[in-house]
Amino acid sequence: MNFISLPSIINEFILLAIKELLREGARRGLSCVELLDEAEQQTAINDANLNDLINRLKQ
Amino acid sequence: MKYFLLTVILGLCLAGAGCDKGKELAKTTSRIAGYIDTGTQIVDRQTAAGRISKESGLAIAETLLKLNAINQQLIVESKQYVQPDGNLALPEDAKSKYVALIGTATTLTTGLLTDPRITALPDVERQKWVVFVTDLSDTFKLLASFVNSKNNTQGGK
Repeated sequence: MNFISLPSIINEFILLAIKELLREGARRGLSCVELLDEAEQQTAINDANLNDLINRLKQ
Repeated sequence: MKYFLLTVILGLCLAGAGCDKGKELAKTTSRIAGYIDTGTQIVDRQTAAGRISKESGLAIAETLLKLNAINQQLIVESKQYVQPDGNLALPEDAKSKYVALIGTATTLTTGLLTDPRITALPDVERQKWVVFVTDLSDTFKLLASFVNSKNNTQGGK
């Protein structure tokens, strides 16, 4: 019997799309100010993560 | 089917486009921040697994960094226009700045799709990135539609 590894059939795009759906649910009920604050925090995290990733890829 | 969920999310964005435009604008900046986080994680995983080259990963990551900076500018700008009642209301003179920033973002995403480091990717991986980048670009365009709408950004605490 052949076993198909889970990662081969559930790729990262699908897993992360599910994460986006969960985020979408979390946004419901937030005010404009809360949404903008949340977005600003995420952009700060993105900035740090992307700079870290770029530095690693350049090595 | 692979991109069904992302399509559903974009559908939800469009479904909400008719009401509370200020809140939808704020929500869309949050969605863009989320997509950029997602893209960063995928680049990290795919380069670590050797499924895309470091050069291709770098092209995507550098574009995401620029798009993130644009989104950050849009957020900071938007915060200035939150009214005392909690609603977001863009003045007419702010629109052109928003449109210019969103135009730059759209140009960057289009440029990534024609970047030789992306077009050189194996078909399977390239198609995934084309869909991802197109979704991200469409989300920026959705933001532009909120900015350009006639009674933009009124309502929605």
